[in-house]
Amino acid sequence: MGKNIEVLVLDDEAIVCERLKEFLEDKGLKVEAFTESARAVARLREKKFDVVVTDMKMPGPTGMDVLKFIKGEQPSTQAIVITAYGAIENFRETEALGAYDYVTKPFQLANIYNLIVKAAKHAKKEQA
Amino acid sequence: MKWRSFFTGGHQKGGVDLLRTKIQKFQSLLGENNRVLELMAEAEESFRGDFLFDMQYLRGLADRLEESVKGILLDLNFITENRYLSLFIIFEKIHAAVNDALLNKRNIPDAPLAMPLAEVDQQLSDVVGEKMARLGEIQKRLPYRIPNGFIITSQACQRFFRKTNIGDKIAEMETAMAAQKISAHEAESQLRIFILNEPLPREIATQMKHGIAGLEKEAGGKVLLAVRSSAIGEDGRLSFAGLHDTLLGVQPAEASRAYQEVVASLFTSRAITYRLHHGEPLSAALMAVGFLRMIPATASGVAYTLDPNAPEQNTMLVSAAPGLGKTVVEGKGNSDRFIISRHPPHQVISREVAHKEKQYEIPPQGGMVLTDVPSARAELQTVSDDFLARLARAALHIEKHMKSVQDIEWAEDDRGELVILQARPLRIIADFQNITRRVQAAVQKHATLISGRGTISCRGIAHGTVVVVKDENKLPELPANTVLVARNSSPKLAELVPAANAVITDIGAAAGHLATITREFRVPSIMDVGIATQVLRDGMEITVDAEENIIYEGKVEELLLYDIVSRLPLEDAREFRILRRMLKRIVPLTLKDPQAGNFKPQNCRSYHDIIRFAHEKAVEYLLEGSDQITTQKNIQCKKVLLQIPIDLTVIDIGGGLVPSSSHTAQCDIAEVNCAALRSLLEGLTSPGAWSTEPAGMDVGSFMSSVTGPGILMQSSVQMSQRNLAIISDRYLNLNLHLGYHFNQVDSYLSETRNDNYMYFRFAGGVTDSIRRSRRARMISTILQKFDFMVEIAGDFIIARLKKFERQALLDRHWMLGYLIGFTRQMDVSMRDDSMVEKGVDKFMKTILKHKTC
Repeated sequence: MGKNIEVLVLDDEAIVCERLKEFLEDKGLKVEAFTESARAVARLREKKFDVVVTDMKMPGPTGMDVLKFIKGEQPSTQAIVITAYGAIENFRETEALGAYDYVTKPFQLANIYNLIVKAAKHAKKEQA
Repeated sequence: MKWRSFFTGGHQKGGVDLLRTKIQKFQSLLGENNRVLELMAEAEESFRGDFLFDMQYLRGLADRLEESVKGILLDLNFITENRYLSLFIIFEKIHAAVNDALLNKRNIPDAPLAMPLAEVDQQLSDVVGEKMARLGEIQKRLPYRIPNGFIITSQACQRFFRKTNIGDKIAEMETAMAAQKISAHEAESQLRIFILNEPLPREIATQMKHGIAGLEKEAGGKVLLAVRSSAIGEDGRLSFAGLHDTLLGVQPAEASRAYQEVVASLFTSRAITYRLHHGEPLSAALMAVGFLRMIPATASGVAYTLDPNAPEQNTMLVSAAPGLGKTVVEGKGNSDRFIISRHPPHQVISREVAHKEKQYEIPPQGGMVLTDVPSARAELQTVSDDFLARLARAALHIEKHMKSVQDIEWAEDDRGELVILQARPLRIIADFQNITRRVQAAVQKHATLISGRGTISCRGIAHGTVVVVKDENKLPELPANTVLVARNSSPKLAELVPAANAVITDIGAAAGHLATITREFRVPSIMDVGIATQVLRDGMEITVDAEENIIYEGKVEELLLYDIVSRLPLEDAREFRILRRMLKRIVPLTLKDPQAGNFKPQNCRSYHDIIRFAHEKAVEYLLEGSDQITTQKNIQCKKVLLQIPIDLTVIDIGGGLVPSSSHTAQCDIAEVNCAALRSLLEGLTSPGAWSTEPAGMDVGSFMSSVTGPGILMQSSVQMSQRNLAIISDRYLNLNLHLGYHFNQVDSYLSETRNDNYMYFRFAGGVTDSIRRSRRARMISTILQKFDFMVEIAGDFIIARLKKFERQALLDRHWMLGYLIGFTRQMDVSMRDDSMVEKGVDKFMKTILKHKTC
């Protein structure tokens, strides 16, 4: 099911990147993970991903900046936002910017995988 | 002014207003109470391994808990008029400990300055360091020899740093490095000189002498020592492998000096850089040091339980050389290399026997010298194939126990015996795509027996032969490689968990006791499968994939290989370790019984204790206060007349009683408008629920009841305890003391399903703790049959249900009322474990006659 889904994961905490990358790759997804948002944005300039999973609060460009970049440059790419507890208001803003959905920490790996697959389908449809 | 005067004084209106505010505060307290319980459940659930969280979450968790617990204390002190201000001091202590855990500062547990290696296991890693903890674990749980010895603990290291000026010096260096005033090299040399020159506190030196004397007594003469570093906080993610010193061939007279050398190696420039790079503060660095008797090794080496150069080949890699293992570890001098099959009988698949010129030896006077390998031995294979097979068996056994690929240092002593010197996880860089493809192909060849049923409670993959537990009272002896299958997740099974490869149950919750034990021992487990005992039969060979929740027929080799190379145990990640330490100060409940002598503020050890205590005392005060008023303004206080001897006062805070009853001091069930309370009372008073037969009490339980702390004998029907319910049309908070045990129900029922919830807490009993815990198990099993998530600790139960339809919750209130009555004295009859299941059956049969839930 995960064949040919390309995902970029961005979170300044290594454990999220490592675990998510490992889990999604086991499921057959192609994953690139970044702990520095500037490097992630640089990579997004080079390559188009189906889904971007991004944390909100990070040093350097924030999740919101990444989202704005995606929606400006690659509108078909779907973004899933990782929020901290109680940061739902932030999500409203991100939703307004076109985020596909959000998850709150702690989240279940299986849930985010299902969300990514759904978002990727959506992305492929938009690309078509 | 005494609190009572608020209700009895001349200002009746003021009294009522105050009571109303107190009830509001009580509701706020309950709200925060539930929030804390949910946060605790969420955090514990995160340990299941299929959740992902990070430091940001942990910081948020600590903040939210702090806010809620503080809120509870403010509410409690309002209700009780500042009676429990001392709880704030206790709260601050716990809060500081939680924050220390969060900052990865170690609260070194109270521990002796020295411990014999024979007494330690992995649980003690904060005391004896990871290296010694693992070695102790092998000796304690597995049948392999390790050197005799003792450990000077982290407690001793902390004392050494605090009693001297070393602690200050470390902090000074840390600040200077942060300001880039000095380099890691400069910090190393300054700290090293400092640590070596400070006098060792006498009590530590004394412990060392005692330890060495013990080793000499055992050996019947002088010994030489291996003094090994065992830093606190090494783990799979943060491996300090090779960064700290180990000194071999140390004379007892040199032990103190060697200790200080090893402690100083905490701060080699490499170790400093490594620590800072991983965000580990220098001021948190502590070293435990192992003093082990030197093994007269004729050969030594290293075994990797999976060849890191070719993990997909499923073979082991062993290096061996004459003399001490230093030759192999440091790569000095040549050594033999063997590729060995991971399958019995562990044949050597390929061998490279080297020409070995040099070896390390320990001369009798101590120290270590590099000598020539006798020419007769230089060309020979260092150890026999038979020894290699023994080594392979042991190494794979250790791998299985530790749940990850191992890097093992070993020795062969002068009697040809195998001695394990060290074992640590080995990270394998594998081609996962290749492995994943092979796994996918392999599982196609095996029948899927069960898929996607139940809940994974400990992730992992295991293989073994099925043993179905038929009678929890006659637990079988588990042969090696067993997958334990049982109908119920009885805590009784806990003792079998360490010996099992996996655990599967038909009924049970991921948050339950048995599930917790499987996580503790890292035994893959799936609970609540429903059909396991029907599908899986004794003697079947199966592979349990508790990653994907599938059970396959036969042994899926590729899947098992995938499991050991795919990841280091998640529980070893820094975030998990921090959460584990935080939870130690949050979750454990010491204050279980409000009647017990220890139910005092000063005995609160965790947030859980604080909220439990606060809730109990708030109820007590509200009850006393409610005596003084009947009906005022919008608040009604009435006694509910019941056909059973329960003294129940309700405080109606809005629509909980029908208006017509508003001018009397008493009401009956029909006048209760709070549907949840009405259903519960109907269940409680329905025929058969409330047994009035005196319970037959044998001498044992009678003695326990009269000698139990603070418990007075009461007649089975005369209830003098008073009970309180705070109700509205949608809300119920019921606090019910029935004789010797305590029930609390907190629920909210509306037409909006998502807002609905129901909590039930149960504790206490008149008999000994074993009978009480049997009753708790019975109640827990029954509640699980009605969809409750149940947590059970001894005789204490927390059950919760959320987001159910109103009618479904009403049915469950009725059932709960019936259950409270039914189990009232049941602990007395819980003579043996078989009574648990009998009780469950009896209850289910009876209740099904009455009502369908």
